[in-house]
Amino acid sequence: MMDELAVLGYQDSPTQQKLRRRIFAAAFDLFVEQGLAATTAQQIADRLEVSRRTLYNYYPSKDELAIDLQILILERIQWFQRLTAINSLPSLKELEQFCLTLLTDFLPEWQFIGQFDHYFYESYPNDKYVTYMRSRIGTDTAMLTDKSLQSLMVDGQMLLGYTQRIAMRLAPGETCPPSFIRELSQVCARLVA
Amino acid sequence: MHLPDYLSTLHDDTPTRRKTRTELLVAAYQLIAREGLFNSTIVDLAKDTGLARRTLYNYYPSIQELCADLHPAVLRYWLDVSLEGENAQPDSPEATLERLHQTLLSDTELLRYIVKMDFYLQAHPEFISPELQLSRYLQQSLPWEATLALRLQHLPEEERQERIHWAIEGFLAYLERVSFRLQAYQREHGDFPSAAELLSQTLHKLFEEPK
Repeated sequence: MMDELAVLGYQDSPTQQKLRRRIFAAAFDLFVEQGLAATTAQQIADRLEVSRRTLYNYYPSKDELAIDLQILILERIQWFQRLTAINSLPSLKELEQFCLTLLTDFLPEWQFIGQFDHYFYESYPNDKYVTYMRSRIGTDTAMLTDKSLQSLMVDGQMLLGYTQRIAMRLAPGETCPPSFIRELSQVCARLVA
Repeated sequence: MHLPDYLSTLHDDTPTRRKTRTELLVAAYQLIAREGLFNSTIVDLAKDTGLARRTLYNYYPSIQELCADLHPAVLRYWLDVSLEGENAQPDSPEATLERLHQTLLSDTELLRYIVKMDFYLQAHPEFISPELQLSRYLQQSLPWEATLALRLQHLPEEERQERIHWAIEGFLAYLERVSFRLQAYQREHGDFPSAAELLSQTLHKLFEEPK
């Protein structure tokens, strides 16, 4: 947990780090409860019981906060480590397992990621996210020129999208029912066959 | 038929009002395709159309109420353009969805609108009829019975509906994560196999019998 924020590159004092972590926790809860679009910086400040000015010192806008949070969450769920597994294994099994884990162990995180993808859709307030993604998926371009893996990658992306749509059917705080898990497993079974 | 044709007959308007209303609806469609509904308001629409906010309020009190008019018309347009016309009717359930996909691949604005609107409706199901949620709409409005006639007919009804549901969800997921991003990717990197071929392969797997 101590090094979790290191990926973001801030030179925080211990006190600042502590507040930054609290900002992320409060923002994450609100984003998942209400959605990214509906949450305001004022609401985040209120939940933290700090002034808007204090929050502004860390994040001038909700959008920049969301960018940092997204990076943190991708790290937390080990997004890239898990996905590189399908580069080396020509099957969707690992991805299926990951998708099921997203619905059972990381559902709020996955719901946030879905919100993020749609809220921004490639028009981000700064370069931080794109830079981060490029540094993490450096080998992706090479993989895509291999035609045998292209179809796999597309099935994989579709599966992630399917998992995302399942997550969106669930209300904040609701856990994923077994019937949805079964649905995903059956779809995976078709794709792998 | 073009989209404005579907928009101009929604109300019993005088000719002048009809013209303005159609302009409004088309502008809203373009705005949502560009920005998504989360980031769009009547103020943005006023800017885009050059009309005063007061004028807009004469037609619609909010952008959500405007969408209650706009969305069913766009869906109907999408289905008509994809499935009617001189082409023979699709002969398989995959072909039905592939036709819909083809329309979107050739009309980026429509693709963006469909994906962004669907996401908004999933997050805010309260402001539009549940029948217009994309998944439900496609399940009920497409000619499944005709195209499924020779396929899967031995399965009980419940299972057939389940297969259709998976294919629709898979198709929509594909739109969101592949088609939507593919164009951006193709712009940057050039070659990538046809999104249409890849969708076809995936849908086929979802409808096939397991070995």
